[in-house]
Amino acid sequence: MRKKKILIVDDDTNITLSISFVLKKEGYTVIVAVDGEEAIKKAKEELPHLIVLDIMLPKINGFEVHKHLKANAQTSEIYTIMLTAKENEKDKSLAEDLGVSAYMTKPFNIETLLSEIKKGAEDGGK
Amino acid sequence: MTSKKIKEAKGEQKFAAASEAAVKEAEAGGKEWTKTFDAIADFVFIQDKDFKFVKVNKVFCDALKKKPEDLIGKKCYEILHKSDKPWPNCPLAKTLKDKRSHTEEVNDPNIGVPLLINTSPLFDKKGEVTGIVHIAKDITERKQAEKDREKVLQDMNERVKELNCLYGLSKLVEKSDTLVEEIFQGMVELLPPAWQYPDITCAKIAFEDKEFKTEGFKTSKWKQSADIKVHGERVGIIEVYYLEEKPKTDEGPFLKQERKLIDAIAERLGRITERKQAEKELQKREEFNWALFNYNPIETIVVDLEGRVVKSNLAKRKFGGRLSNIGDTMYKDYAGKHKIDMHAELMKCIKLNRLKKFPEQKYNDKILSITIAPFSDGAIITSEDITERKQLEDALRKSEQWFSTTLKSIGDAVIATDTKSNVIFLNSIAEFLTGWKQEEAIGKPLNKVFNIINEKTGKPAENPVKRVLREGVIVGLANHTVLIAKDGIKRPIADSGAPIKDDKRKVIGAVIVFRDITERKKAEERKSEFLSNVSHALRTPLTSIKSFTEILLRYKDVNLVEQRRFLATINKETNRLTQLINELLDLDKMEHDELEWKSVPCDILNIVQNSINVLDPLIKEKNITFKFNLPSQNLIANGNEDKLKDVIINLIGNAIKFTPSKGEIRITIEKKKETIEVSIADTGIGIPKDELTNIFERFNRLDNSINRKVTGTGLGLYICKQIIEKHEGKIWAESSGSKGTKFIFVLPEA
Repeated sequence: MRKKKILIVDDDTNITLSISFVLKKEGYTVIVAVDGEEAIKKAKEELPHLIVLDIMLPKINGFEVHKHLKANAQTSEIYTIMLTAKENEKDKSLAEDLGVSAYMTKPFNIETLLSEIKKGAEDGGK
Repeated sequence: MTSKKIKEAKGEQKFAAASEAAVKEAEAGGKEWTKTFDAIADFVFIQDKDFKFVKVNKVFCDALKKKPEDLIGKKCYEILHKSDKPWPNCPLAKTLKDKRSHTEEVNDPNIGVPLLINTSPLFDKKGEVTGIVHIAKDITERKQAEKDREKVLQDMNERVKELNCLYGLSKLVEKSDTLVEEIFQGMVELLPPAWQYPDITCAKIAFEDKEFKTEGFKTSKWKQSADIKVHGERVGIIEVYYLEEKPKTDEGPFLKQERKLIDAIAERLGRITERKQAEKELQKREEFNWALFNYNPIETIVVDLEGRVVKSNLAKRKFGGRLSNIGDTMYKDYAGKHKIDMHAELMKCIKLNRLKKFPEQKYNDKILSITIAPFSDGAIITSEDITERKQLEDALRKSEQWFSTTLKSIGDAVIATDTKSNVIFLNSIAEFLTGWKQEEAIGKPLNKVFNIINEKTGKPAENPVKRVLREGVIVGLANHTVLIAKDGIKRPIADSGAPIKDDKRKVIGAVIVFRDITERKKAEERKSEFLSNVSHALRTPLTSIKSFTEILLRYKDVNLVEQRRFLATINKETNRLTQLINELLDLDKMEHDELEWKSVPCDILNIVQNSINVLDPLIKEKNITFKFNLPSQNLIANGNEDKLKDVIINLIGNAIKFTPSKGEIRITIEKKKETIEVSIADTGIGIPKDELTNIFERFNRLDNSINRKVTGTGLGLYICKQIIEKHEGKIWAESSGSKGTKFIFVLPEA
């Protein structure tokens, strides 16, 4: 079975480093983007199975990135997990409205993130 | 019978003389006697023992229209009384019997005229009665006169009785305190004695709804009555009854005089009643007037035309002082405490017969309101002590002023309404917030002036006054209300309403108090944003710490190099967390003035030098060149050295962070007037102009890629600003776009 490809979008290098480390250990192929622009570009190029997306990103924020990808036929079906340090109801309901697959807050449990990624990668994986 | 007595017996004298003459003539038997006999004007005749006429005189014969020869020898009763027996009352029989003279009045209808008859015996020598001289006189006229006299007497008696009756009535009325009822009862008892037949007379007076009767009162068909009228209206009746039939006279059995009497009494009773009623009215009026005068709470004095006190009322007497002494001359007999000559004023009023008021007269320490009202016999002076009222009025005015000023200067907006929720008052804050001036708002419905909507729905919100007036309760602060001013400006407000109650707890209006909470809302938003930012700032290092810790725990096969790298990250992020927490605590203290400043003279140059020493490893790491423009002498500022060092480290640290490797940082310290100016200029990417002030706000980190790579709490510049401002200095940033940034702060020189 081909390795599932996962795009991690976060401007905090500690986050991208740690999640990348874990996912590689778990057998996923990992791509990293540090701002919204790069995220859209890499998603279109790489067509990952799943995206772990921060909201507060330089240049284009996570919601806009998601909207953009949803609007594109190639990327519209990608399973998106929002991972943010902003914990408020407004963002959470906005994420739901935009059809985000899962919403998680920082700091997170690796186990929880992994089970969510496993679920998403298998369901949404093509 | 002595001659003297005879003389006294007037009418009978003649008979006696005639009798004597007759005897003499009979004895003498002369012709002269016969002549004399015939000349006697009375009827004279002589009878024998058997009543037979022996001799008759001419007058007698003429009266009987007979000749003497027709009568002589005939029996007198046959002729005179037309009877065959002697007249029972005939004095002749008595004289025959007792041989004495007798005088009788005879009234025989057969004779037709009343007669006074004198019979005298004639004796023979043996002393036996041989005949009787009979002298009779026609007493018709005398009888008539007697009857007339008797009638007059009786009439007089009746008049006396009537007079008695009227007199009795007068006596009854005489006493002024006699009740009408007593008069009527007394009157009814006076009635029967005044009538002809008192014993069979009953009387009754009916007056209004009362009846007054004589003892054993009964009615009969023989009745006389008269109406009692008061002011022409029938209010009662007097009735007199005879209980037995009596001969008819003028008015049935009643006399004309009795009619007059009963009418007179009825009229009199009517007048008495009128008078009594008038007296009662007068008395009532007098009592009323007296009470009005005496119990009037306003001190009142009546003076005569000379201004002397005639009387004073209770209030005046209670007020005391010599002013109430009867006979004193008003305002003159006392040491004048009035400012004007009141006596002269009084006399002028009386003279001109003109009322005058002295509304606010100072008298000693009192304020009086005096009125002088003249009348025909003098004047009435009223004086009202209005001191207290004046004081109350003053106090009320002051209180109103105070209240009005308080309302005007109160920090919140205040609107008062009446019970119909129409505006009656707006203070200046309310005027400002609603955009309505009080003059134009008064009388307008509150909804128009106080136009509020719900912040969330945008629909009109319920006016608190509605509930206040409906339920009479205080309606507390309501949130999420927006006031739309007259000019359309919307402001979030907090309002509350309360009923205005009078002293009987009756709701007479409502008052709403509200305030513009724009600032509070902003503050709340800032606080909420701050918390959100703090939370975010805390979560970021926590996430790294937790992630790497979990990795180390989860995977046993992490190589040593990686393990060390992860642990170093954990350590670094823990330090960052600690720094953040310390900064937050410092900030909180600073914002609440709790941070204690040790203010000492600080050598600024020295502090800069020390700061650079602290940052030396970083400077070396990035190979940054420092350039200095320094003053020739030391510059001293009063302040906290540690805090100033924090500021300088923070600013130089930032400059190092944002300056690329091998870049340049210029530090300038110079004296400008009384201040020390320090500037730190980097050669980094610069800051857009519109962000230059924002960077000093809390958690305001520039959103750029370089900034993402450098760590920071977002509080550094904010803290710098707080510290510099505590030192009464200023801090700002300058940047010409992409050619670096210069941070400058100024401190007052010590």
